[in-house]
Amino acid sequence: MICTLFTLFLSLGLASPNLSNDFLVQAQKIPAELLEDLPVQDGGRIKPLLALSQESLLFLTGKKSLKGLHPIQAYLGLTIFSQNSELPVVNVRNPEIRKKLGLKELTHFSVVELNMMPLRQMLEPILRKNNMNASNLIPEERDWIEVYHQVSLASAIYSGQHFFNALTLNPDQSMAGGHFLPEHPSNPAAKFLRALKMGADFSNEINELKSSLQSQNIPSEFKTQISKTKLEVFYLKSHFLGWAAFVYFILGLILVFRANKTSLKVCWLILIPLALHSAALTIRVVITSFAPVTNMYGTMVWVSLGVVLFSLIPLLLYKQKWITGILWIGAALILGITDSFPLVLSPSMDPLVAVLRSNFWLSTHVLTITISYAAFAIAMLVGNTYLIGSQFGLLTLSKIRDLAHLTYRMIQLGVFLLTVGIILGGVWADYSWGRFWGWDPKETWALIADLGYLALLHARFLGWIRERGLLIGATASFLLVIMAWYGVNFVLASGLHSYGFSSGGATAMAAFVLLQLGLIFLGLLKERAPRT
Amino acid sequence: MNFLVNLKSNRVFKFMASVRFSVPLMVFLIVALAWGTILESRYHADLAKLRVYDAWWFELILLFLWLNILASTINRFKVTFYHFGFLVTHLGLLILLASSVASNRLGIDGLLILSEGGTGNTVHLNKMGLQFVDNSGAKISIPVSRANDLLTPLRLSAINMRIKDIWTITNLIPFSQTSRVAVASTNITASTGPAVEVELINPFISYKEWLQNPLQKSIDLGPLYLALTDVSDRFKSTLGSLTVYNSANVPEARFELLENGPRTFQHKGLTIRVDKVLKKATVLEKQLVESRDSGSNPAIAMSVQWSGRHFKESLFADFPDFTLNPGGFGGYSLRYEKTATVPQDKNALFIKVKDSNQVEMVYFEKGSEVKRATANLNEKLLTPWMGMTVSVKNIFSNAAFEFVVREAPLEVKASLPPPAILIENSQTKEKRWLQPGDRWNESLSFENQTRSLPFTIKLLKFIKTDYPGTETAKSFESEVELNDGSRHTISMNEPLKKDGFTIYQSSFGEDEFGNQTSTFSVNQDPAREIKYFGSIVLGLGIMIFTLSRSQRFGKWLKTLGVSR
Repeated sequence: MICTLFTLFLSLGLASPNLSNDFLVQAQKIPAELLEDLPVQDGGRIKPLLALSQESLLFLTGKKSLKGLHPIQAYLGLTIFSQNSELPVVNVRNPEIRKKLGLKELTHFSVVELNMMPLRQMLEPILRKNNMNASNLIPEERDWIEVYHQVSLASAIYSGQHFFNALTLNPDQSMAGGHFLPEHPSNPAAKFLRALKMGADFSNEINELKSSLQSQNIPSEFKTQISKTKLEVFYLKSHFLGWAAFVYFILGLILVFRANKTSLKVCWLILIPLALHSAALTIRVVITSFAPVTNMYGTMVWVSLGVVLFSLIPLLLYKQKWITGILWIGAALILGITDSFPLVLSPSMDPLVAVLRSNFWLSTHVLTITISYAAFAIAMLVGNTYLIGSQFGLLTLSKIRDLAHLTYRMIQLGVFLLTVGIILGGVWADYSWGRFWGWDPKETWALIADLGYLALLHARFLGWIRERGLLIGATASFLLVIMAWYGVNFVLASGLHSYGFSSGGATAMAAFVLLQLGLIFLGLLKERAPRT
Repeated sequence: MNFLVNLKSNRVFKFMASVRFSVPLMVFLIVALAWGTILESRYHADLAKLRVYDAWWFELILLFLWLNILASTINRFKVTFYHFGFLVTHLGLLILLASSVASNRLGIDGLLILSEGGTGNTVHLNKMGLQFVDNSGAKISIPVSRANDLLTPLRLSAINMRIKDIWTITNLIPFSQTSRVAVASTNITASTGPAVEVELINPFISYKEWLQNPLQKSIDLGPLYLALTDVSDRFKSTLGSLTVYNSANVPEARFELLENGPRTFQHKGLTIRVDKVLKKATVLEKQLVESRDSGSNPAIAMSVQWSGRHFKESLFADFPDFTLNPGGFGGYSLRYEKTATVPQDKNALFIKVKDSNQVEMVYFEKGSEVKRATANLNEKLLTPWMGMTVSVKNIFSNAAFEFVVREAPLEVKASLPPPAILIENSQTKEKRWLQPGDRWNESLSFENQTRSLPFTIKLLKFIKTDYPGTETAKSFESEVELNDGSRHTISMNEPLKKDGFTIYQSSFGEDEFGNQTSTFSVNQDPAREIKYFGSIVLGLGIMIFTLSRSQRFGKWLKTLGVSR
């Protein structure tokens, strides 16, 4: 009893500064740079140890590293630190769960602490339900399962088992081969960890580890992936997307505020971030060997690229620099958001489920659908420019005409791309599922969005709405796109397109929708007010 | 042409052709579709189909939309460059919509499940049907639709006509549940007996069910066991009862065997001495002894004293006709019966009917009695465990137990309850509910419709490949052999096409013998080519439409010498 109380004090923070310091001191000694491109196996593919460390820490702690450590220092540090199970690293993200476990003020807890909570009893019925039919779980239950997996991951990291498993490059032979079995007397990884722990000279151990890694009987598809680990390390460390977003933003600001004084030559500077953006996408394609649009993260990166590409239309055709500037800022925001919330928008490059393994259809159908979202996003951005600008009386009638014309053309472009994309999806579904159309929620919502924009175009044709109506309608219709794009996977979470399902970000998305509705409401109020 | 001119001046046609009609239709469609996806997310994909996509009003919206596009295309038919995009787009839409409906109505979409080594050609469609054999011996299947689509009324009347000599469908419950309900009865038969309806409520569950003796003596609810018993004095009995039957085979007396060891009972002129009760009896040297083997064979070894003489007797619960004294004891015969036993590993509630207004309840926890109470009809009592209230909603001292089919409530994120149809035999006036899988007799059944392929498929092998180190499937594929001897591999994204049928890899599983099975989805779509043609026309149309509205494109065309 006294012992448990003592550990409780330890983990609740009384001894925690010392513990953290000891951990930091030990972890900082780990030669992370030497190990970054060490090929390891995880999630069905070969990745560098850097990626494994980042992904594991992200899932466990909510961040890609701990306390400013290099991710590998943090990952291996957790393995060799003797009091690792007392470090508060498990990030319990759901406040409701923290409340039920009696944990209120903190967000990170140690494994010792969590094991003292009634966690197991709470989990038991949920795990049973999960085994029977995982799709029947409610969101909170999913979060409980996540805590369970976090604790399991922490335990696996602490025991070294996680590291050993990852080093076993032929998982099918892990039972028979046993290079890296923990109980194997000459396990080079265990030797390496021991050397790390003692703080001794470990250069021999690293070499032995690397050579025995290569001497395994590696499956052929893994061999080609091993050659890409250096590229992935470069990708992870270069942050191309973050830089691209930053430059888009700066150039956008310049164009908006100094539109008249900026020459078209300056505008060509956009090619620099565009190149970074495209390079990042290309590297992802090279690493994964499939089109980079298999999850929310991938599609958002692709859509922001589409927004920049389509923004060249007003720039080159209509010479409207300030509108282009706004679109670049919009693209920067989309890309920046995408790159900043890896927990919700997972940048993982893990392999595809069986049905998606058709590069031809994946590229044609998904790329076409999502690029139409880029056209609609431009229409939405332009619509919001009108809504905000008109509130402050910044827009002249001719500028409103320009905005409305651009919106009209973008909606036409989007409708064309979306319709073609939907039909391509039908052809793919016909080809691989045996039906052209099955009222699956994802395809139904794409159709709803298409119908929304079609209704808008027809209403414009009829004269029911004019320029202002079209601009407002473009922002409202984009809410349908958000439902088709985000809502089906994150809110409805049903149907056959289940490979993109995830959760999180609902609050932010709800805030965006409410803000948009608020803007539309204000815009409509202004419409109804008599003009002078 | 005169007709066209007249048509175009018709007011109804003008409205049908107008955009004023299309925009509200589109908005209706958006709302309906959104509602459908919410139903799917909350309940089940099939419910969304029944309530929205296959419903008559939805088909009506689509029909109006189609007519609207058709009328507007006729109305604005002009072969100029400016109108060309409009024409092509809307023609493409007309073809696509019409061919989609045609595939839906005329095509086949079903499942074929084969075990490794097994051969088959029967495709189970996703449609229910009433199957019967007609006079000529041919099998006929009539679709029974749960959706209220536009054709269902026609179809139902067709059913009545075709089989009206014998059977008529008189009712259809789209989502049904069967339950057994006790009905008070004055006849005493082997299947009637006391019955109670028990309701259990706690914050998490609300449960109501009938208990009837002998057809539903007990219900096992996992952590809780409910039983209706006629023993209420001592429930520790796990040994059964000894019943004395008279010459008319009516029980006259029953003695509970509460514990093992010698015991004597008296009834009329009989003196019965039970020597021992055995759980797994076997005969060794003319003696009943307990066997060490597993299994059970409950029995009692006893002697009976009647009119001054002693008889040795052995009774077996599982073999009630066995006796060492076939002549009986002055008209009396004896039978050993097992009774409901108190489970040792869970909570239990045993109920005994005292009279038509009162029951006795005995609560057990892990095999031992913890509380005993008398409950009146509808009186709510608190249980000593699990924080429940229990009440008895109905008490019958003698009741028959009958099947009742009724409307089932829909539950969130659960599979849909099955439909039920009420069939009447017009000759005997007999009515019976059928649910999928039920049959009236040899010649009439209600089940999934089937279609036979013109060829047979043998599943040689099913192969699932995972990504190394994970349980995520990288590919599924089936090696099959057709009856023409040809071999094929069917995998995700690589179907087999033969005689107008397309066979897709859909999923996999195990049959009841543990063999690997492969599930194929089988599809025949007579309108496939038309649909693809419509798609291409539509895509081209939008492209032409968008370009033809561009002033730049127009100027560029002018430089080529093309005038608008």
